[in-house]
Amino acid sequence: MKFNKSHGLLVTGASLLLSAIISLAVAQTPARESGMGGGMAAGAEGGMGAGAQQNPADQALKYRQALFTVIAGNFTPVGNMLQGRAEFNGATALKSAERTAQLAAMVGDAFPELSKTATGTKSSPDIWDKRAEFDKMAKDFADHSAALVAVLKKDNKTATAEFKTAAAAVAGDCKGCHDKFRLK
Amino acid sequence: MNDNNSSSIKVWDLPVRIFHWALVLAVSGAYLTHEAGIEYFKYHLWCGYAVVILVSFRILWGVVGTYHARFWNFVRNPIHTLRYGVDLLRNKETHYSGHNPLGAWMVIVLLITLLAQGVTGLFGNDEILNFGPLYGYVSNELSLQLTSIHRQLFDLLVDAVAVHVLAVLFHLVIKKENLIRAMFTGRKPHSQANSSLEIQSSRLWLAALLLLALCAALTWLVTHAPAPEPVSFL
Repeated sequence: MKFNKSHGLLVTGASLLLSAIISLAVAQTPARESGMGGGMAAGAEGGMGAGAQQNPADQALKYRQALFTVIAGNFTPVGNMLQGRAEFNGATALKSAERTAQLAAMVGDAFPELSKTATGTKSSPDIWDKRAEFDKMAKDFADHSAALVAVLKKDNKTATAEFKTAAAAVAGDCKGCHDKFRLK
Repeated sequence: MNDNNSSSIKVWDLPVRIFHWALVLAVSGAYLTHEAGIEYFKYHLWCGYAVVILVSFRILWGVVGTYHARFWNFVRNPIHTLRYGVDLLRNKETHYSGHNPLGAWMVIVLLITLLAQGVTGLFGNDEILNFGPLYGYVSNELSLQLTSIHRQLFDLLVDAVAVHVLAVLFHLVIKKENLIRAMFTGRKPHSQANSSLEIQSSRLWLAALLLLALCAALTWLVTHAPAPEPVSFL
């Protein structure tokens, strides 16, 4: 039961240091993935100008990342209004919702089977292994975005409770699919 | 309760006990509010604040708290810890008034994992609607990396909590040591604790002061953080 105090301090210090090293190692994990992907992508892009072809999997990945960038950009106005970061503006909200709905309809097609092996992708292989479940989530996203458009077309003078519920449902679809089908 | 006092030794001060069960609530709450959906993020954040404050408090309390709360009174070197593990498997009588050596390392692992989990969350963002309160202090790229760690650490956390709970159940069922009750009452039976190591005070004023200081510091950091402004192109 007796325990030397300075010795104990040393052990505590050593354990903290060890844990710090472990956390750093964990922190490196995503960096390593993007490093690998980055190298490949740079090679592919460098080759494009010289007429070399990008492989179809990486091409599909590039396409879908672009799609999601545009989805995020077009949903942001509604998101900002929903979270109180921006004043509600009916015309902007409707435009934002309409574009999101159009883009949401493209999500399913942006995940062709051949893109499962794309380098540096954050898509979980479960997308293709549990395709029906994934397609259901993509359809929910499209349906809920369309429902948001309908709500705004009915009344976009103020931020109604209906608007908030419908917008939250769309955002919830994003989260639901990310939690399930996106690598951490 | 009173006849308890004569036949038991007080080892856990009130701040340690409140910390422990409040942390259980905060961590469960953080999990549930994440599962509940994107519109419950506000409450996820509250749970996260609680975790960060509680764990920071416990780390400071491990330096200035009562006897059994202090790290250097319960963290043992690896050889001692290994020997304890062997004795445990051989079913030898092994009682420690405070944390046992394996439990001590569990405490260290849980505290560090939870602190990292809480802090990475504060800087994170979900790329949909929500931003951690300290997002404004870092670049978007770093925020995304921290979010990724926040997601990955959760799996580690689940494993650590599972080991912790199973170990306590092992002590309850196999070793007939009720560590759960001790974490409520603060007391262990005479047969399982050394009366010369009984704590005399909970140092409540010091605990309250530390807690207040930590809350003030976090509040200052959060209220001074630049607000995220996602650009709208429409």
